[in-house]
Amino acid sequence: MSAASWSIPAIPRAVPPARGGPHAPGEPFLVPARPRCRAAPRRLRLGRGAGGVVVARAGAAQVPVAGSGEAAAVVFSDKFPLRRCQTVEGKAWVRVDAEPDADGKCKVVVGCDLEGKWVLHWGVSYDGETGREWDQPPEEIRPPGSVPIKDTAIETPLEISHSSEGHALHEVEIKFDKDTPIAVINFVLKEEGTGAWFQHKGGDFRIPLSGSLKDKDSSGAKQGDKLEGSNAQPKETVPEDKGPNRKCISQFYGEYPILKSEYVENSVSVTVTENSETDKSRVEFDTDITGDVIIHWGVCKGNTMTWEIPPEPHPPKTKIFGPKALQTLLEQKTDGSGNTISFLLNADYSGLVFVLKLNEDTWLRNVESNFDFYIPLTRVDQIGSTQEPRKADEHKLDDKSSQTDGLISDIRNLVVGLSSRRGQRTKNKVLQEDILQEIERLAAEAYSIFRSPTIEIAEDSVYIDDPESVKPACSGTGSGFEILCQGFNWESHKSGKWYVELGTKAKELASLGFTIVWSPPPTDSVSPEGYMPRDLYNLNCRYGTMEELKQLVNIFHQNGMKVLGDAVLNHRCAQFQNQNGVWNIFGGRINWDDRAVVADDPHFQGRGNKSSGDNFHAAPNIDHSQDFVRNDLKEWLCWMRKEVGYDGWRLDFVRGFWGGYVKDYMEASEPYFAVGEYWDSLSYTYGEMDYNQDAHRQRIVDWINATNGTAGAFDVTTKGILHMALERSEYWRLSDEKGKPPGVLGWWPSRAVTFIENHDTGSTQGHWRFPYGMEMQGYAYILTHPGTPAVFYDHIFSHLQQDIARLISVRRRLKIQCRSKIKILKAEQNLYAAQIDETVTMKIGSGHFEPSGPINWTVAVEGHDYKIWEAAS
Amino acid sequence: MDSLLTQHAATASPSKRRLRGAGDAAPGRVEFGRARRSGSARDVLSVAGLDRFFGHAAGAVDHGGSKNSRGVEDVGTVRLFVGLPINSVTDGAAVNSARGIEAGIRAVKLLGADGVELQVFWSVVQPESPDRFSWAGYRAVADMARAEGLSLRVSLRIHGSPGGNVPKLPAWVGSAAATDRDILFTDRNGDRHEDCLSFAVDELPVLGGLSPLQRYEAFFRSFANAFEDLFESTITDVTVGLGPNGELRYPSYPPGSDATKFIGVGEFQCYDKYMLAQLRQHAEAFGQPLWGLSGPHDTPRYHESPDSCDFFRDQGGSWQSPYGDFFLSWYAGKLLSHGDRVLGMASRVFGNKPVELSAKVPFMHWFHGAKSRPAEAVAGFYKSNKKNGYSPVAKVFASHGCTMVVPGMDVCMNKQHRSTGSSPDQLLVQIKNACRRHGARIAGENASLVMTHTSSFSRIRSNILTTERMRPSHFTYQRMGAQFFSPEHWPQFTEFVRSVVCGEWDEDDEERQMAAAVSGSAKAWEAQAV
Repeated sequence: MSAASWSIPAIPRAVPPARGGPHAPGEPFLVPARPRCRAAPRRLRLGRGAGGVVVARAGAAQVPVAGSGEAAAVVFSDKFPLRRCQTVEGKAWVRVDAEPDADGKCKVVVGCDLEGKWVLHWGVSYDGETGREWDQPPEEIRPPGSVPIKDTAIETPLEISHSSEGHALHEVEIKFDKDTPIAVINFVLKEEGTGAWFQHKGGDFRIPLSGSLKDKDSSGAKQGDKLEGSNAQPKETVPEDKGPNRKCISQFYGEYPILKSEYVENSVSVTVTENSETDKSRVEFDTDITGDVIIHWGVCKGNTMTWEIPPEPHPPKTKIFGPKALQTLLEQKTDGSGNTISFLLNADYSGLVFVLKLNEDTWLRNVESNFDFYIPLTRVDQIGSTQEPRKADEHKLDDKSSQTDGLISDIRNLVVGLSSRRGQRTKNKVLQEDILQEIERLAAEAYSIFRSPTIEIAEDSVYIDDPESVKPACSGTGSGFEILCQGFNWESHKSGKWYVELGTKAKELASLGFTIVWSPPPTDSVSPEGYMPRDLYNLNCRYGTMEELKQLVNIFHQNGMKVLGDAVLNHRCAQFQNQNGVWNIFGGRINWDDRAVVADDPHFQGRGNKSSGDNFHAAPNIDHSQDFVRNDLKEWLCWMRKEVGYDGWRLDFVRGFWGGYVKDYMEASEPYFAVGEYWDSLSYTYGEMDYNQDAHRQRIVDWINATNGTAGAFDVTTKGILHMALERSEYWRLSDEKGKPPGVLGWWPSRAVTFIENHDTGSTQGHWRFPYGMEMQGYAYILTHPGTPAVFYDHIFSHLQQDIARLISVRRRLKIQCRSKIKILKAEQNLYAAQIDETVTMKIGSGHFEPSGPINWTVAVEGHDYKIWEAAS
Repeated sequence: MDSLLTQHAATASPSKRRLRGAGDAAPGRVEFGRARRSGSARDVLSVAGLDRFFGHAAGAVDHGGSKNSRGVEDVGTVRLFVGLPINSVTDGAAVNSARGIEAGIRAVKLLGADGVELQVFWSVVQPESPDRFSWAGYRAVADMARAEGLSLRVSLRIHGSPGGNVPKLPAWVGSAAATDRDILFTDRNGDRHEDCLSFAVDELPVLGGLSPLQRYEAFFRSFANAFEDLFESTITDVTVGLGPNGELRYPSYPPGSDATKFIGVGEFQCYDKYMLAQLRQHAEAFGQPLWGLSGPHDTPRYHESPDSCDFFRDQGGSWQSPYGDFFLSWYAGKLLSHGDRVLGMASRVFGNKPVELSAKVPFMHWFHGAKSRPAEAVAGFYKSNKKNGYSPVAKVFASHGCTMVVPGMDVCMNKQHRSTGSSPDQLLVQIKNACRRHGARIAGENASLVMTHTSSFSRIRSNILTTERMRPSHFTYQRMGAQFFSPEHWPQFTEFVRSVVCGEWDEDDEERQMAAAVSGSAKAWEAQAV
């Protein structure tokens, strides 16, 4: 039913078969829209007021109906997937060949005759060990293809062979020396297709080999039973009685029945046709399940889901079951391909409800809703008029509450539009989840706002940026007067000698007024852009060689600029695969293995601790919580400082690990300047960016705080708000509730690195491009405001260069710095104006603004929709 | 002054309730506002109740005709409010943390609350002069509630509130009090309560030629006018503040301390000259002029045990003497007549409005074990002739059609120091008995945010979902703020609301049938799940 459009079947590993009744291609096919959809138009009128159910309905389709000569119109036709669990019986066996083969090896064979992808999960115990722990088997006895699992077990796949009768068998052989110290082989079987484990008595299988059989209980005579898998008793055991206390390997064979459950997929098609002549509906069931199939069914009227029994005549082979239901045996198709039935029903019922019964223990219901099947007997569009049309007006009410009400009316519409209560449970759950999420979001927002007074206090005492005194340079701020240039874009690697090319621009960049250049990630990398680093000490990359990099740094230094290296610390690509074929073994000078990889990313099977941040999914995330990892990284950073001459760092994807580790790295490598990329999503409500982005900037500020202020962070908040403000002329967004700038720069300006574009957001990737044509307004904002502005390479070397140069020169001339004081003068629909320190007034937006007051202002720079004044001295 | 039990003929009729916005009105819903069960989708819908709602929605379509009769039963349905921050508005014109309040309102709406409660302070509305009212800030908050389709319970507060940066009294009242310090409540030491005008001056022209009562009335009327349009759509309840912390009581706690946190015995507050004058007058009329010279001399200090002095001793304490009875009756009577005056005025102002009038009483559960009920006595509740101190209060409330708001529905015995002889259970029973006897409705609040004892939530639940007749007509959870939304509190609160909203639905039969219909298959499934 329609539930499928938004419910996900909860049963894993079973893909429902493709649905869709026999509707002809190209026919209009009414599909209910997602009621949760938040995009405009928000208020879906789902089955608006309909008393009937929202259904998928085919148009005039080719349906095999008995007596199809009649004027029949298809009311409903759909094919429902059916899924049931079926158990397959088979056996597993264990054989111990005590007689050494030609190589002097004994062997244990474990096999199974059921289909599947079988894996032997096993370990060994040695003589004298009593604990339940396993040891990993010694290398020499591991069959090829074995994969170690943790330190205690290995997994060996069973190989397919064929029995004399041609059945597929799965077997594995373990060979070992006759005098092996191994006392017991422990194992369980695992079927990877279903993920099911096969144990015995809830425990392991045990194959006693030798040596340990000292006590009488373990005597060879009982070995058959000692294969402790008594959930299923051995069908036959052929123990070779070796007598007590014999220390040699016993010949043994045992079989065990195993039951494997499988999902079996079938389907049932239901077609309802309307017969205008008889005023009856013809219902046809058709299923591909063979054997006896009974439909357990009833009909219901109106909106209710009350089962009732329709008046007679009932279809043949129908029994009345209780007061409300009928059970009808379907007719077997002649070709044996399933069962079918078709019968007539009075049209005054709104729906038919049913479940399928195969036998007393097996009932099948709707896989998607996990409830009874509901089949509407009437056309949807015929019922629509029964609801009062008044409801429609209700929705034109307020617009202010649109967000909540939108959601609520969605639900209400859904509620009104449904008649099938049972079938729709799943939907409600999904909706409930949706509302709950919304509630959580709102509560979080409210929380962040209500507690913000404490943030302010903290801000004043801890983050305080005192504009009066110029603070000594620290790695979070540099001198305080820094202007950053991003010295590459997403395409820079293509030339193969970017270092050289960038070097030629060093003089120009310095003369434009930049103080720092951010150079691309220098290491050997899986991706040409450098953000998938592999061998950290190999600095030959697509941007150039290590020598060229050193020269580049040198050139910038000669021009009085500092150089940031782009350090990717969060993740690192492995050079080698582990035994499981997972790439998590590193090479090069830092030759970590999977212990350096966080444990909570299933893709890379790390053995480290859980990640202290978010995961970057394309490469193994490094576990920074371990000393050896941090020490290696510190050493590397120091090496790059010394060898390459980098002055500081741009830190990639710092969301991925705790800021406290960054503090460690900064203290160890003592950069002149460092900035982290903490980029996550701003708050949106129904696709509309929220005015209050405190939660977003709080996360960034929290990160900076965790680094103890040793690194700044890109002010993603400001970029996002600028997008909205400029794009939609909503300049009021540029003042927060306290009249301060709404981004990180309003809370902790000295650590905010403002930018409007970078290689990810713009360039050829364009993940989040700044509103086109409005870049200069953006630069007018960030280059006059406190914080440390960063200018993107593509903008510097474009037609904007002169305009940007003028802004930079104003910033330098008037000594605007990262802690400058700002006072917002206007934040209106089409105008934002602010005064920075006592010396600069700026405005952006189309609105008219002239600075006033006792100061004599003269225009310093002017451009399209921006204007900057300086105080005449 | 003994007109305290005067019946006001023109009391607000509690049954005169309006339907909420036209679009919402479900057919046949004539009774009492917002019966959650039979209401329209908009009222009913809440996360927790969604499944249940289904049943009733379907039912509503089917048996629309039978709903009138059901509505009557539903009068007892508890409406759930959440208190907005006490400092939502502090300067009249602006809303503090407006976005937070907006988000909070939306969150509780989605959660399934019926409304929010807004404290409206005299001091904020008329900060500078008696002639100017600034409603813009409160108006903005009320509009937020309306925009979400929530009910609004407005608490009109004429006395100050501790904390929250809300001014205690309007500045011009403060300056009147500076010239005549005796219009403020005064304790035995002569310390004044800066946030509370003495009940003795209610009808004296001490505020720029008008009496406080007249000023209160102007404040109430201005509110009624400013929010005229919301009475039909949003404002469902008006709670009249009768004293400190909005409760009908004397400020028996130490001046300057937080009324909500004090759990000592407290002291009598009858030492301003107007109270003393009335006491003298009363004593002379009583024929015992010496009794009117001062308050009782043998009462304990604020924090002392009731046994430390003679007055409240269980055995032979002066409270049992004729003097004790004289004084306590007078003291409690003054409180009662103050309540009667203000409620009478309020019911004149709001009598023609479709709102439920309510007022708050204190929940003085400490020292409840002592026979003299000392804490209640100094707050103005006198258990005379074995009559519960709340009984005359309930009578006054009933006569004005006023609901009694009991602010301690969360208080559990285990939270209290046993040494104070606290007995919240008994007290609640007494209050309910008093209200039932006199026909006053009750409503509830919690004393404090439930942070540590989640048992408090179950206590609230049992108090408000009780099947007994004195079921509260509404319950207000106090109050929104940073802690309220904190991860320590919010999830528990969510749970609580969902359980309340769910708990209101009866198990319906269909549900069970349905379960039966599929139980066979369900079992089969379980059996096969490996």
